[in-house]
Amino acid sequence: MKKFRIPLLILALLAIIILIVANYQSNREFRSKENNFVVEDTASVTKFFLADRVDRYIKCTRQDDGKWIINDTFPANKEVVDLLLETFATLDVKYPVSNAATENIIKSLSINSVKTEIYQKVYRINLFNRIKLFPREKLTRTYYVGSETMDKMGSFLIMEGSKQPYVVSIPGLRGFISTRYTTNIMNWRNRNLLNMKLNDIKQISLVYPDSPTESFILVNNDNKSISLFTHPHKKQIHDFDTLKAIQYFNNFKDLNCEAVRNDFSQAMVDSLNSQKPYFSLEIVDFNNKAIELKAWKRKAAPGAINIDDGSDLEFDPDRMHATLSTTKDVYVIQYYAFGNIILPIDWFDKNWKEKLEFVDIF
Amino acid sequence: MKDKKNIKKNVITKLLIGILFIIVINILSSFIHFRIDITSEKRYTLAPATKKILKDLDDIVYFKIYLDGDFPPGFIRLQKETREMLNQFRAYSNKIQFEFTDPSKISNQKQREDFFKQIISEGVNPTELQVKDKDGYSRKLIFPGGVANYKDKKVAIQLIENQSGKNPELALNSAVEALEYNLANSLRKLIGKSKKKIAFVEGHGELPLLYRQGAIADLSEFYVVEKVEIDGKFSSLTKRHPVDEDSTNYFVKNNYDAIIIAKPTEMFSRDEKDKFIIDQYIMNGGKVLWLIDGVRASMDSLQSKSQTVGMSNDLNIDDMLFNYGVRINHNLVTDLNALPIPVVVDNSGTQRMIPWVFMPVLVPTAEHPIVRNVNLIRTEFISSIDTIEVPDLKKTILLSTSQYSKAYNAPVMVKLSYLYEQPDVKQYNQSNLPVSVLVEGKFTSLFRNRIPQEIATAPSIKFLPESENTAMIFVADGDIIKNQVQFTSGSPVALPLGFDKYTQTKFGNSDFILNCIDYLCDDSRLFELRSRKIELRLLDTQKTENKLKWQIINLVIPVAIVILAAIVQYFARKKKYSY
Repeated sequence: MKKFRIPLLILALLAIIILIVANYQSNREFRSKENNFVVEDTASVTKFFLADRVDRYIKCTRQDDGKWIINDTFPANKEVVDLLLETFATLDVKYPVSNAATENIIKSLSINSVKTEIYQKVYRINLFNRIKLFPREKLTRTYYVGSETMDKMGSFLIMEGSKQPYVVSIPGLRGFISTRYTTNIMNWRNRNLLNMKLNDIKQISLVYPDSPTESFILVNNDNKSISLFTHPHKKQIHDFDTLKAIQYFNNFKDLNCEAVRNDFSQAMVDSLNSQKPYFSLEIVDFNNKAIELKAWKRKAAPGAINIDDGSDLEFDPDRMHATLSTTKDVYVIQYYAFGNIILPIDWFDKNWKEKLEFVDIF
Repeated sequence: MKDKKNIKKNVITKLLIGILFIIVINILSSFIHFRIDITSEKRYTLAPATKKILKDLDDIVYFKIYLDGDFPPGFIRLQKETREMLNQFRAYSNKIQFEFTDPSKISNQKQREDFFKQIISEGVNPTELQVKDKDGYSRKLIFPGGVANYKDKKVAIQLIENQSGKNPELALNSAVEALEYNLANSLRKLIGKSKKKIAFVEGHGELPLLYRQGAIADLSEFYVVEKVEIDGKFSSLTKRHPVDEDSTNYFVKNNYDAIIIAKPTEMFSRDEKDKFIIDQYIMNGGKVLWLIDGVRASMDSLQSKSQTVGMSNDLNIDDMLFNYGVRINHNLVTDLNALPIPVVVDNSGTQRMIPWVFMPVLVPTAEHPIVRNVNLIRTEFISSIDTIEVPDLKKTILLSTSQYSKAYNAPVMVKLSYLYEQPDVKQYNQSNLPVSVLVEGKFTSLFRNRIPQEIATAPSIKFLPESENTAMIFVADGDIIKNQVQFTSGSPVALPLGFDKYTQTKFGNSDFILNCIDYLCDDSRLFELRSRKIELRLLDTQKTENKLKWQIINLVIPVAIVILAAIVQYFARKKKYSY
């Protein structure tokens, strides 16, 4: 073995040289740790965290059923999450910030940026992407997203621990990406208020406090038949259009609000609740779980006029305020979205259309 | 028994160490780029001008090259050479960063198309290729170029110019030849600290602004482009400064690094003042690009009439040009290698594109950096140039007509009806008539021994009878620098220089004009890179016809030599060690 000592020493020396050169090369390569913002496999993202400099944060976690939840509380808006995941995957470094501008950009990033942490499911043992063992969640990227460039065609990004910021965009995008990294929770929350279909709903009560005669109760008799009652006397109406009733039950699929009013204080919410609502909708499912949605007419904006006769508008013709019994929030809902819900009991009358025509003619 | 075991162990250990050595050396060689340039054309050695630009870099220059993905071998070579070149740049400046990217890798079709549009808007034009995949043939867009960013500036880099009619292999080779120039030139554009000043001379009926906007746009990337009306004023082209405050002695400094005299149509004043001012500008080292029509004829006059007469263009500068070593002949050169124009061929208004012999398309064949790798050049009513024997002047023909050309002395009748006649090749018996000439050296003033003594010796005029080393380029066609105009919603819009709206082709006029001015003004000598020639050592198709012979030579003979050596060694050892 003694006579092989020199060749083995040379071999060891060459191995050390390889390690040194490999390390030097990786520092020379443009795609290095400090600009590798891209997360190619977004399916492995389990969680991401966005935090700005004014302590607003978004923690978005993927649940076992694949749905995302915001700050462990609210269901996430799928489109917004998908857009950000797509952004993670398609980020492209346009160019590194010049040495001359680096100091200023780093200053601006320290004042105004969104810290982004991306967690992925990785495997302790991963052989050629075929044999994967011992999965765990790992923080794989931490970077800061700053403002947009002067030409509005890129955003400034910097990896945590790096001294080199980059201008980053998405290939083909005529704009900047920083707006996608929003920490405004309202942009992240799912705007869905109700999402039920005929088979889920046992009973619907729609009450118009100002026009009680238009209120009604619809009952789903174990998906075999539907009954219609007046409200509050619960007088059954036998001759009604059952097809319309089925259609009505199915109108509760994917009902969304326009926005969540995060500017309402508790006093304002209490004040709203103390007023008489425009309508009150109660839905009971087959587990006897009830959800109540109340809506109030919104005051029109100052100076808003009726385009038909030029008179001043008292109420907003497009939007209402609403509350849901399952949350403490106040929502903005649109007449347009709820147009198929806010119907009078007469609508179920088989001759409803004819009646309308009759009125129209005379 | 023990000895045998030891021998076996030693052999295995030796073998393992040998294999390990091979592996380690291979890994190491993949990391370390070491190269000795033994090519005859020194293709892997950067020019001093490039090295200087790289050493002068004060901030990051980031190249994004769109040459990644699956390409045919020719493009792989271009990609490899570009990577090598940028690596060489890095070796001289750590400010260079680069990345290769594949624009086609974006899976979302709309996003991909948007990205393509973005790249095109940046100024990188695509090349369409037919590629073979598992489903057969498909068309693929590739972008042989990229973008270089420096501080807040960016420039597009086009590695392959669409050279009409050029063999693709030669076009790719031209791209490799021009690689260092293109990349270094992009650096020059980006850095452009102190742009040189050039000017279009006005006041003699030169091309209106609308028709030189294309040239101005191209030149403005590298130069400060101004216009100057001489109007008999000394200070228009040269400034005279007193040596010191009380001195009556003056030194003269040119206002511009080069001037362009583009298609004058009016005489240079009879009192010769403007000529004297231009002459003294040249004597003080000024550079001039002359674009002069020998004959007055234009397509505009054929718009309303079916014929026109090309008259001699008397500008009163023949003596001046003659003195500088050239004569622009008052003739019209026709050429069978001509640009097609749309012609109505029947009463129904059907149009056909028919070559118009008065609009020759010049093929740059001269081995000079000004015209090397320049695309075909579009001309209109050109004349020929003769060179005059003048000592101390070196003349280089830059452009000439094809081998099927003919010159007609003015006055020349130009009829549109010629379009309907089949040209007789025998008539076109004058070949390669010079159209553009570069003249370099020490010029003698036209006014030497012609001006009164008091002017010749006046310290405020500082008359020079002979120039320092300088250069001028003469082109016997003013339309080479003229861009076409398109009317959109009633208002005229200048098209890019060299773009022909009828054939929808971009000719090399823009490159030619840029090269002329670069050559005249560029003191960094970066320009010399243009003359770099990389030998394309293609297989001799005549010899490759005997395929089997060469296969045998390449495959069988080396194996046979090895076997022969083994046999010789076997018998030699047998002889040596036998009892």
